[in-house]
Amino acid sequence: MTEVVSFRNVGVRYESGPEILRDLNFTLHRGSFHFLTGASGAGKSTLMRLLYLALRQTRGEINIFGRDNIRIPRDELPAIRRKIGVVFQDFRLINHLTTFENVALPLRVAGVEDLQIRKNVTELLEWVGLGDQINAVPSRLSGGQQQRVAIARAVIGRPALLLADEPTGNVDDRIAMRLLYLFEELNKLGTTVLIATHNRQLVRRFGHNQWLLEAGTLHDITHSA
Amino acid sequence: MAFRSQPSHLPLDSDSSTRFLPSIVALMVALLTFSIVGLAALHDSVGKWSGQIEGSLSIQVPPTGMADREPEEREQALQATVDDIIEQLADMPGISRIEELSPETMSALLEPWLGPDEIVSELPIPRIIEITPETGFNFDMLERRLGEIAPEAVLDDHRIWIERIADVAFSVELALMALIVVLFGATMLSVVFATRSGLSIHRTIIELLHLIGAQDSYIAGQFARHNLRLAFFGALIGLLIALPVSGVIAWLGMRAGWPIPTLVFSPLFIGIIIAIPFVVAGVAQMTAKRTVLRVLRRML
Repeated sequence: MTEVVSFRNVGVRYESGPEILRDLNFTLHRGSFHFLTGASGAGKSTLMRLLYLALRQTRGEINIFGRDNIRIPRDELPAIRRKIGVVFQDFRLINHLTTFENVALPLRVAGVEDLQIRKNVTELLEWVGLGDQINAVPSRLSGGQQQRVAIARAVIGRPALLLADEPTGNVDDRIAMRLLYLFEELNKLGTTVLIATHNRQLVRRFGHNQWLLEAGTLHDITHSA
Repeated sequence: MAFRSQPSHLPLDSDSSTRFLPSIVALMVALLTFSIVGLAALHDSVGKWSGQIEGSLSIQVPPTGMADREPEEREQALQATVDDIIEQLADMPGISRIEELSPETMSALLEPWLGPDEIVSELPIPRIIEITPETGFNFDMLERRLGEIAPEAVLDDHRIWIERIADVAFSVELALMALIVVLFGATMLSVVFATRSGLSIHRTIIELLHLIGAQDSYIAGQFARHNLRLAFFGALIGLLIALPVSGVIAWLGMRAGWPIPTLVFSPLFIGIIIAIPFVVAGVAQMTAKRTVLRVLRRML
């Protein structure tokens, strides 16, 4: 199976503080689906930042799409980042842009044609139930709606790797299920998915691989959960 | 120059720099325009003065040692000296014209100070010989010849004071050129400051754009377009302020008898003035782009 991401003895510390993550060893294969669980402060967000190339490890080796992350030249990072879709815990929507423009952002920076953008974004917004909020700015949307916009933005570019940090934290069960089905659909098309969540019920219902991050170390609990 | 070819993902229009930058650019461009107009006027005058250095000179023949003579006898002696000088210098190479200033012209020149003709004719006033030299005329040779013909005669070629004024004017010209450079520098620094402030304000959006795969050039392009627009707007305002003010100053100068510098009507000068907003906007655009790229290179 094709390796999308692999970690070897990875450790992270901030300045001279203690290691937040230590001895991480894992591989994400193409088309795999993992849930990442762990208590608050266990290091889930730090691990996510490593994966979406916003942070570099202090030790160990990270391979992403076959490239050693430390050796990727700066001007090649955007092309690699375009293969990664990220749903941030705090959404990070751009407040002065409409729902449509927020979702279209990854396509715009990739230089996709306007016509194509309009078609794809409109379709996706209908799918996530935001077809009637296409021209609304984030401040006019509820928390759940903002979260769906963030998810739509993460998946609009059909990423090879989808990383989601608490993607269902602000939505009701019905919408949460709908969003998870969207992630599954993408997964079936070959997208590797890693979802950090507290929602144990959701994890159990979908039955994918489960990792537990505890005190900075990673444990595979797929079969013990 | 396309001001807006794609939607801006950075809310730069709401920044304080959006108000600050056009104002500072307008001020700089107004000062820049004044400097350029001043430079043109001064350059014109220096050119004219330099022409005058070669354009005219005069010889004073004073009635030295004739104080005790009768006026008629004194005038005859002076006339003889003047005639002698004119005769001997007339065939000197490089002199296109030599003639004595007529008594009427002398009287007219002296009348404001000495009163009516009758008094002038009774005073021991020097005679003046005017010479129009050709280009490249040898002044030193003239000075030597004059010393041989009439040692008491004084060659007044206006060169010293005109040269001094021209030197001062040239120094002012250099100072104005330096001022233009400083103004450009100050404009660029203002752009750098505004851009850095924008980068700092929008750091989270810039980080987001990076994370979704935006190239540095894409982000820098947004700042560059924004600053191009603001600087062009500011420069137009500055120009619209400076030109009428310069016109009023020129009008007041004309009323005071100053000559109008012909250079300000030349196509080169008009071209330079028209180019100011475009050059300033282009410089602002490039400065913003380079500043953003330099800062982004330090980010992951």
